[in-house]
Amino acid sequence: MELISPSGKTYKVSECIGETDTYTLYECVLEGEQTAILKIVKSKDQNGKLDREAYFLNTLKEKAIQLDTEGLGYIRFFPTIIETFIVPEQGDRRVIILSFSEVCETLSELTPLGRILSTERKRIDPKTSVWILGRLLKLLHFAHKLGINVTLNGENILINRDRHHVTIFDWSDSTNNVDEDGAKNQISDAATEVVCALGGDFETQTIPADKDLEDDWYQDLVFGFVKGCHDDAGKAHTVFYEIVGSKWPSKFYLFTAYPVK
Amino acid sequence: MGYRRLTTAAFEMTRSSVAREGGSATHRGEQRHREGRGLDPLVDPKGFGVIRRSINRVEKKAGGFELLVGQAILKETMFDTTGSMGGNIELAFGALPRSYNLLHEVDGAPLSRYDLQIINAMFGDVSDNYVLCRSQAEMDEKIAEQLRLMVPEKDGGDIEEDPQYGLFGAAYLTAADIVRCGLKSYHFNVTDAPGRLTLDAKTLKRVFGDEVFDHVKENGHDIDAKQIPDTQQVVVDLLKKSHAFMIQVGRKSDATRFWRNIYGNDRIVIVPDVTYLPEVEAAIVGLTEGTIDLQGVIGFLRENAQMSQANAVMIREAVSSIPLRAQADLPNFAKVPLKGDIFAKKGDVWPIGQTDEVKPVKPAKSGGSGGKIKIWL
Repeated sequence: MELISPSGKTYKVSECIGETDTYTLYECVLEGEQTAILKIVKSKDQNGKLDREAYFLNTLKEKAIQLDTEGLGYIRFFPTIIETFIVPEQGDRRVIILSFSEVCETLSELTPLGRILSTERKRIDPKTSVWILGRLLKLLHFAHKLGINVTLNGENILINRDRHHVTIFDWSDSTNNVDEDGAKNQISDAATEVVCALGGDFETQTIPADKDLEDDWYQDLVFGFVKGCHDDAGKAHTVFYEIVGSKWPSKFYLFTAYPVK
Repeated sequence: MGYRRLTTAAFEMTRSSVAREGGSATHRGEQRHREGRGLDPLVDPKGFGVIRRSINRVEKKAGGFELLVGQAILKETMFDTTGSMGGNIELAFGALPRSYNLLHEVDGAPLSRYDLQIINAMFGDVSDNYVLCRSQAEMDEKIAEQLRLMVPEKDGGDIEEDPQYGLFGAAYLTAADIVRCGLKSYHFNVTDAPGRLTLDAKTLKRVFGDEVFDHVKENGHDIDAKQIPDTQQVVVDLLKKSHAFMIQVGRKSDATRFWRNIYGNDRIVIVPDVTYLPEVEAAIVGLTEGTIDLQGVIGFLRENAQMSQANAVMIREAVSSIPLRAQADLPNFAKVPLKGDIFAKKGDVWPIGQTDEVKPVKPAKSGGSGGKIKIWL
């Protein structure tokens, strides 16, 4: 099926690749043969969700472009919005076209963080968790500076394990007016998802033993974030890398995950 | 009542009259107060039967009663007039034509299909002479005339103010035809300070008169004088019939904390000052009615309010978290009676031939996009 937007762009819409109660996701191909995702609400009364998401994605993109002259990579923290419009022939439902070209060549390079444990039955190693949590904290710092709250759960955090990119997929539940409590909760959510991916145990507040960990310093660090000891993602990011940097050399570690028994 | 609506020409006559009387928009109300005559009944919450009514304007025609302007819709704005907010009525007076035009007159105005009726209110502190002034629901230059009757005391009082009595009036002492249609009116509470959580019967009687609870009952609410709802409950009830927002002027964190607990995060709109209140209200109403979307706010304000890009961007950011299309998604939105429709008798909700029952308002949707993604790649 082809969809032509009011601006005249043509999208070849193919298979359904996901859905929630609010929207459906389709793979689509842009005119330059680049693959993208078409997100369409299930009913017109949900149009506002994607309207707001489009607003936030445009705001993030604008700021990221300003800042990324310094090569900071903020543009990879969210999908690039190509356009949003209402489709009259689909019951006046709103559509957003999203590109992930900043973080992957093909969409199959992206994995929801939560699926590594739940579907692949693997747990990531601590050094892999460092770049994931580090990027999440940087992402939160960036979004919070713009006043935007981020929804963090294992399905919404996409990682590119080869390129070490972290992207938040869905911004339709985001709001603005971040306050200290919101920031603290989101930092905690980020750490919680990383601890889950590590195969951590929230009752005993431990993570599995690892050859790179001679004592409890890393589990104490990440569980500190889980408990909400930070309400400023920028400061949390600095503290995190200061401590990790004092223990492990700063270099590119290959994505590593172990089967879960 | 006829076809009258607020025109710039009529407003300019009122503005000239204000200038002739010394230049202060509230001179008349203040003079009356100095003479010991109290509030004019038009803006005294006790006046004119206490309940404020926003009613469809109809005229007898062959075969029934014709709706002259459109379905009446009420917008109430309640201004803090304490301390640094003391100039708000003066500012509201000056900005009135801009506000009315943006809501009703310009191309794409969000309320152009309705008969826009406006209440202006101002609140002070319980220690002031007047805790609340509240106009009638008006649709023409009387909106401006009644602003002239208000008495802002401009005193500092204490840190918390007392808007809760105005919220009580909006929730329980307002009857708007738009609500009978299954849609909602608009309410804006403009302040820079936290309020108080409790209301007392003594002050309610002082503000609305000794029969306040009888009037509340007459208006369909049953409130026991010994169990008066707190401010949070008042706003919960207000939200059942109004798209209500708290416009916070400035960034005082104690005010944000207080009102966030009362209204919820998505109904707090923070602006640096009240200069662009008409534009903020128009953006909120447009997003709620679905006549504009977030992508279109800047264009609407640039075109119709001649705003700078920077100010339009600032307003869009301020309103970006409000519930979008909250009016447009109500079941009866498309069924609202229009100008020229004929009713069998005065007071009917639906015109002749339209037999739809009023569908109940859907409960507010909770946040969340409905769970996790079920399939992924």
